[in-house]
Order: sequence, then C-alpha cells, then structure tokens
Amino acid sequence: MATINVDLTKLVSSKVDLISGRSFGESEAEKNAVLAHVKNHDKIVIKVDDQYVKAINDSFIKGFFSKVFSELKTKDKVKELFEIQANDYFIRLFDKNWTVMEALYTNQVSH
Amino acid sequence: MPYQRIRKGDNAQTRRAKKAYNNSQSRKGRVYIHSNQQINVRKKGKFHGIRKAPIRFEKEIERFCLTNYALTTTPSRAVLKLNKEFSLFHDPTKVLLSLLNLLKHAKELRVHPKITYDGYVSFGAVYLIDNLCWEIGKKRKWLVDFQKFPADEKSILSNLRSAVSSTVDDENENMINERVLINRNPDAGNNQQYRSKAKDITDMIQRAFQQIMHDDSFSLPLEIHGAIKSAIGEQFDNILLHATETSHGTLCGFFNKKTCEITILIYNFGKTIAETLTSEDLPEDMWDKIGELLTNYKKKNIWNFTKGSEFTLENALTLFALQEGISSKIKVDISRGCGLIDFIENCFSLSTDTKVAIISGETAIKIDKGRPISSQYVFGRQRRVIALNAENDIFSRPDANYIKNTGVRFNGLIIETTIPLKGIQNGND
Repeated sequence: MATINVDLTKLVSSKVDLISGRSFGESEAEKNAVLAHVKNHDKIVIKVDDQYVKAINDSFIKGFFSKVFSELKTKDKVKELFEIQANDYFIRLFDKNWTVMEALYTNQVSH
Repeated sequence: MPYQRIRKGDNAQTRRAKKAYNNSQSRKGRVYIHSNQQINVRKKGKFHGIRKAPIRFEKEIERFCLTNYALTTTPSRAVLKLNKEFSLFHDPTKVLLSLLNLLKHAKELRVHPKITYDGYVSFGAVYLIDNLCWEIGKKRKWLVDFQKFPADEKSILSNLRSAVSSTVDDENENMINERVLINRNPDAGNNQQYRSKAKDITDMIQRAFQQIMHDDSFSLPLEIHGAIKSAIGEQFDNILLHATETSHGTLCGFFNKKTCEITILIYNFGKTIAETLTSEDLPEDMWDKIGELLTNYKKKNIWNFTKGSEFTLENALTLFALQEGISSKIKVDISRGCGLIDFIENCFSLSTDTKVAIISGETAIKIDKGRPISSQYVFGRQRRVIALNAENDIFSRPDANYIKNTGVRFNGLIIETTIPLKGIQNGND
C-alpha cells in the first residue's frame, strides 16, 4: 500500500482556472493510473489549491471517478481510499458527486 | 476618384480599412447584373435605381430559414417592439418568428427593420437577433428608434457587435462575446477555448463588483465561479459529446451593472436534443425508458400519436433528456446524463431567482423557482427530476406555461441562463 498524490492544480494555468469535461476527467484518471492504484488498495490524495483552481465541473468528477465507482460501488469504500485536500467548497463538491454516483452504481448491482 | 494608397508602414488594421474603402469606391454606381432584385435607395436627394446582390447567410442560418419558410409573414413594416414579453424566457416563439421575418425581409429586400423600445430589453433575445442577423446589418439599414430608449439601454444596444468577438466594459455593462471553437482532438486535454472564456467572464464580473464596491481586494465566492463555469462547461461538454458535426458554439456572458444580473447565452447549430435521443445507436435501456414514459403519457392522455397534439413527441423527449441519468451515451458509462441537471442545480443553489430557457427544435422549456428540481423514484431508482408540474411527477402532464411548442424549428440548441447576483457584495447571496 502506497500513498499517491494527484495534484489537480497542475491542470490549470494563468488563463484557465476551470477543470471541466467528462472525457478530460476520464483521461486524467487514466493518466494517473487511478484504477490500478484502487485495485492495489493504495491511498490516493487529491489536491486542489483554491488560489488557482476556481471551479471543477461535476462532469469532470464523474469522468474521473466512473471506473473507480464501477470497481468500488459505494461512497464509503471510495472515502477509505481517497482523500480530498482542498477547502470545504471543493470537499462538498466531491462528496455531492460521490453521493450521486453511489446511487447510480449501487443501483446497477441490484439489477 | 478618391483612392487611399496603402503604404509600407500601415498596420494590418489600417490596410484593411483602406482596402475596404477602396473597394467601396470602386463599387459605387456599379450595376449588379447577377441579381434579379432591385431597390431604390435615396442618395443625395435623388432616387437612384441600383441593383444589389441578395444576402446569403451562413449555411446553418439558411437551413433555419428554409425549414421555417412557411411561417414567415409579409407585412409592409417590420417593427420589433422590445418589451418584457420579447424574451427567450417569456415568449421564445415571438423572438424566433421576429428573427425569421428579419432574415426573410433582408433576403427579399423588402423593408428595413425598425426597433422600438417598449419598456424592457431582454439581452438574450436582442443578442441572438444581432448575432444571427449580422450579415443583414453589413448590407442593409437598421432603423433604431433611439428616442424612446433610456440612456443605459441605448448604450447596451449600441455596444452590441456580436458578429465579431468583442469585450465591452463601461458604466452600464460588461460583456464578453465569442464564437468558440470546439477542439475535437482526442489529446485536447484542457485545451478547450471555452475554459479560458469562462475565466474571462468570471474575471469580468469580479472587476465589476470591485468597481461597484470600491474594493480592489474583493474576490468572487467559489459558489459563483462554480455556477457560472458549470453553466458554460456542461453546455460545451454537451456540444463536444453530442453535436458531433458542430465546429463552433457561440458564447456570450453579459453582466448588467444596474440590475447585477449575469446572462449567459450559449447556442449551437446541429442535432436537436430529441434527434440525439432517437438516433439509431441509442442503447436499448434508453428505448425502454422512453417506452415507459410514453406509455404513461398515453394512459393519462397527455400525448397521443395523432398529429396536431398540443404536447408533441419532441416536447416529451426534450423534457425527458433533462432528467438525471438520461443520455444517449449511457451504454458507455452509467454516470452520464447529469450535465444539464447539475448545471441547473448549481445555478439555483446560488440564487433561487435564476431563470433558464432551453430551446431545441420546436420545443421551448423554461425553468424557474416555480417548478424547481425535485426527486422522484423513477426508472428503477431515486433520481433528480425536472417534472415541470405541481405534482413533481415526470409521468404527469407538465405545466403548459413551462414547456411549449414554439412552432419554429431551431436546428440546434439555445440555452439562456440568467442569474441574479444582487446581494453578494453584502455576503448574503
């Protein structure tokens, strides 16, 4: 078990302070080998510095976590492996999206 | 003949201006023999019969005119009365019909449109008209009855230059207008033009508030960044994913300093929402859900297969697409289909007085606090839904005030979002 840092602040620049797009979320998850780390039970720390990142769209979060939720299914299991190092606003944003995704993926199990 | 010589030291702008002037001089008095149309224009006190080339619009606008040709009228005068009703939110039919008539009259060289003020200017409607009619403006006169316009509205109207990318910052308004290129390169990553424009728009609002509050250190709360960027990002993400043949989307962010309201208008030509939901490659699961919806509608006599039904299949499908987890790409990933409802929720969580107008095909949907997002157990799980009725039940008849058939077909999607930001300077947003 290792600890992996994913710094989302690197995705913005002086001209862009928004992280958005489902496909961008999916590609970032792939680039950071998030699913492999999840399968390996590694701890993943997601860092967001609100001085540079002003908004993250829900679609990006859903794209980033879609394969994670298809593997782990529940929010509690995701919370065991993922830590969000950001201000309250972004922590609430991730939490809100995880709740929506949990409803989607746990429902898929029951069918 | 006066002629402007282009000199070596002239910059690009001067060269362009001189070329344009020289061309206009050489065109003077020329008879356009390829045109069958002839109009009279008053010139130095005399009437000269000259022939002018007919206006040709962009391919998509021509298609819009052609699709709706039968709806246009032939009045002797084209007068646009700007009032409360003349807005995409309140009466999209009126706006789209006026737009069609303006385009038709310009093409047939009939009358010059006249714009008069009748109490209220809806920025979104005027912007859309200006944006789609810019080719008329280049070649034909627009008569604007400025006498009745209040000074601030006059300034807003005169600043509209939506044909070209523009930024306006004056005492009445801030506006950013851009035709945004959709980068479809698989390695595009964060390199999408709309993201930098979203930053420009929030920077613009922040500057406006700093001026209003006389406080240079004021920074916009993250909730506002979230709502505005969600409105822009989710819509452009939809264009990227669903309107696969569309190369550009038009984005305008307008901040009215007097009312402290931000209006974001995004439109694109391409597939309508209903067309996306009836494509051949739609997952079976989606067909099942559409079947369940229509069976329920039919049972309750909300919709039937007969022509002329008040509530059409397209209306039903467009409303259906707004619900959580509804997407033509659901087969790829079950967490898709949340973009629109996410952005609407973000805007309403910022201000309950938010107003959203969605126009696609012949369907116009408006969302306000009267019919907010609710939750319903439907299609096998609890979902966020926009039912547009008092029962908050997507299987019941939606309120006719909130969804209607405009009768005018817009080949694409228009979304106008108006968010009041009054009060944020006091921290009680």
